[in-house]
Amino acid sequence: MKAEKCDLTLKSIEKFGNVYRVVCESKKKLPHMAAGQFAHIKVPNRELRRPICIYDNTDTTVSFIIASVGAGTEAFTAQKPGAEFDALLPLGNGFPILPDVTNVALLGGGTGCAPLLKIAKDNPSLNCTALLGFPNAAAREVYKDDFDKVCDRVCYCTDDGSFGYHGYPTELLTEIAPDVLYVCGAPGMMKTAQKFCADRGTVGFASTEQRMGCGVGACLVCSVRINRDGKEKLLRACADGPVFALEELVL
Amino acid sequence: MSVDMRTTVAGVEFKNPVIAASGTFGFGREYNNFYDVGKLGGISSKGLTLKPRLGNPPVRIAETPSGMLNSVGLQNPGVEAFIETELPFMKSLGTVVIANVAGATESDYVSIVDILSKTDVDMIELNISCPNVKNGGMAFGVSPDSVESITRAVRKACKKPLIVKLTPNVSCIADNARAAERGGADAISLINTVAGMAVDYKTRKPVLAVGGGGLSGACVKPIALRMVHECFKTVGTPIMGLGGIMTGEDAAEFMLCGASAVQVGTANILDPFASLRIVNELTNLAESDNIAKITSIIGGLIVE
Repeated sequence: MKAEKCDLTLKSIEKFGNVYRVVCESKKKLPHMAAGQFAHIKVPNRELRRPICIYDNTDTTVSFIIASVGAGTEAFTAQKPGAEFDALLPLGNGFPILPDVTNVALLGGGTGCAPLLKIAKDNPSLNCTALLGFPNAAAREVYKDDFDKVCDRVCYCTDDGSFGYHGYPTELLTEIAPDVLYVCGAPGMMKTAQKFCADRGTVGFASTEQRMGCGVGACLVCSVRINRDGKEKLLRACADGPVFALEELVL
Repeated sequence: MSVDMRTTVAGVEFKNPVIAASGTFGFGREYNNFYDVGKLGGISSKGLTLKPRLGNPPVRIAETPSGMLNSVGLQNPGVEAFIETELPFMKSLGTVVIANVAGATESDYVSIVDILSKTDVDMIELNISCPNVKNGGMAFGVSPDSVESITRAVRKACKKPLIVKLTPNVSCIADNARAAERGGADAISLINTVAGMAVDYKTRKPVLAVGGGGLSGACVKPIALRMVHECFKTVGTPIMGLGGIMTGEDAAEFMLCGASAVQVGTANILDPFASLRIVNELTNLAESDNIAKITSIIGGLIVE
């Protein structure tokens, strides 16, 4: 899965509050992409590329869920269909899929749900339960029914109770009792998930994020604090991650 | 007509004048996945210290108008790990290998240069200009006296051509270039990053975890061009010019100002193919201008 610089065209962009559902297409066949990998996208009139996790893909399309949270994502999501840009993809290490494990939980919060979809989609033999947390009902709409199509069970959770379970998705972990937990979300969610896994001896993997430079492992700016071999290390989100063993994360 | 792109700095021949700058290219492995990095004139390694360094806490990068700030803080595996695992790979690439070194004390610098002198690195670049570590680095690079004394101390231990990398955060760059020359530098490279800061109004905090950082990218090019020109007028020591080079034409501008070779840094971060593209653009530029030898433009700036 060698990364390539791919020329992409914006095919569609749908707005859901400050979150966008973006589909890009390529004239050429795109490289194979694994769940949890990311694209490093050129943004108009900005210096640095922006790292965005791969949400879904086909041979010639790749889609992203992008929250407009700063100058870069704002400039990217202001583009119209037909806009052309390049992206380095796929980058980073995705979620490991363990053999002989079926009962899997996908725990995501907000845009953190995005890297989890492909775990279920690409591994139909897994028995996936998605626990997806949002502030309110409107915030989940960007995902349409994508998770319902590929997961065995989806629990939508909202902070205000306007849709699904009223509360945090982490509150449902004990009931699901997964063999493996895949998580991406805010630090609070990651912390709770880490404790859950530690208490029960559950295997967990987490997708991290950090402000990034080159995206390919050379510039060492996207450090993530990782506890490995009894020592705290600063590893590269882009090349050593973005997915790490949940127990290794220093939160 | 094919252009002779070779250039020589301190007796070391480069197949072309484009060198990947320290700290933006690792040890060449990552970019070699995108193209044959042996096509570059040279690679300056990530800044090496005697012992491994963890570097600064994140956030370590901030975007700025036409540039970026970084505060990596010399994260590196240490000189021994470099020699064992990175140097053999770098030497296999077929390009000039420059070891960039940093330290907290004079004896650190002397020790690391002594160790590297026994290896097959082609050149040593003395980083006395890193703005991102508390002790050492830039502390040695600011006053001309300390530039001269650290260069002289290192020179005694150094069996390789010695490049001294200068910081722009000084009152008179030519004084520091002269000091490096007096201390025994075989070449100078400039500029390192410009000390700077980014502020997040919403949080009322600096963007970078350690407060400040080093500014690089297209925004520093005018500063760098002037400083290279000042140094070229002042010293006879060959110059590697760097600071915001994004295109082949940028590289040619530095050569006109007196650089015998150039280094490309931030451009690599923005585009993994940047250094190779700059080699090609510089070659095409020279070809279209009927320049037979790229070295013929060095110092060719017309000042009336």
